Amino acid sequence: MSRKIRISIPDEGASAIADLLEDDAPNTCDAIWNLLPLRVKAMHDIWSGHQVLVHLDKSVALQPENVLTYLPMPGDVFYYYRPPHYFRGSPYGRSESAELGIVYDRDTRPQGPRGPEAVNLFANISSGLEGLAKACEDMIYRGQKHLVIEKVE
Amino acid sequence: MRKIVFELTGTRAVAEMLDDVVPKTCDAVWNILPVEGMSIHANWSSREIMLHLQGDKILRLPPEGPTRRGTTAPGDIVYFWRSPQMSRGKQLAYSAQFQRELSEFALFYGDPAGGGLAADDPPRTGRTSNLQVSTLFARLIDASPEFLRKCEEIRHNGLQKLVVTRSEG
Repeated sequence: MSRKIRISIPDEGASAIADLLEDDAPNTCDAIWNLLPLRVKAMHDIWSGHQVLVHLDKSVALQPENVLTYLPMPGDVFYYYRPPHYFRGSPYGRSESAELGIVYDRDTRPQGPRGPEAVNLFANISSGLEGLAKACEDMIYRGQKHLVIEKVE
Repeated sequence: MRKIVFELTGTRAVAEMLDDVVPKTCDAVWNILPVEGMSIHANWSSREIMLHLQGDKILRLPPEGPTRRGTTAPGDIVYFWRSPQMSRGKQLAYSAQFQRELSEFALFYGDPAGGGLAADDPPRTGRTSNLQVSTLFARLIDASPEFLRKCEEIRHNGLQKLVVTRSEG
């Protein structure tokens, strides 16, 4: 049995369960698991399609693992890291960043200004995606929302 | 060159129309001004905000001007039309926004701007399929830092009112 995490947007009453992909991304799963619970602001991506992201503490710099080939499935949850000065442009480009991304619908591909990005696919939502997806898409219209990620013990 | 003004929550930017490159598109845009609505941030095309034209302001224009190669620069303002046929069949969270006809202005406010992701998608452009049109019709010539920041804040705070007017004289 893989470990499970709960991803919630409390203000919208949306909650989904994701299964960790421990065989494919053991180090990423351990590292993220040990950060939980996370209470963060999520915002909508502007390059990748139907995807929201949250910023982690920059010290969470993980090695590539189970790198997504290109196109994620709806419900995929991934980790992304970029070192300082990775690409041009402010305010985001120059700053180091560690992020989690949640893909909530089709036609999404994690990418930034330089094109597709290598991300560590470490979890997949197994229930509750539909409600979470509505709350995620709503961030396009109403901006950032609080997002909670916690262990399902 | 005619100029148009964008007003976004107390900030303002001036753009110059590309009258000599795409005169028909510029005329059509000019004739529906002023136009206002709630501007929305892009989620595929990077640092871009859009204004969806509605009701009697909807423009259905053919492609005009040189074929673009899909890259945009900060300050580009593009007229975009998409057939309602284009996204039929989408599922799950796709809202009505993605299933209906789209007629809009797209303003690329930041650096780096759209890269290869922006409005022009060669396999689907109006020239070959009549499903999608994007015509670069204006460029920002005077945008305050506050205006550009307000554009970006739509991503963080949600929709904001945008007004587009003629700059007379």
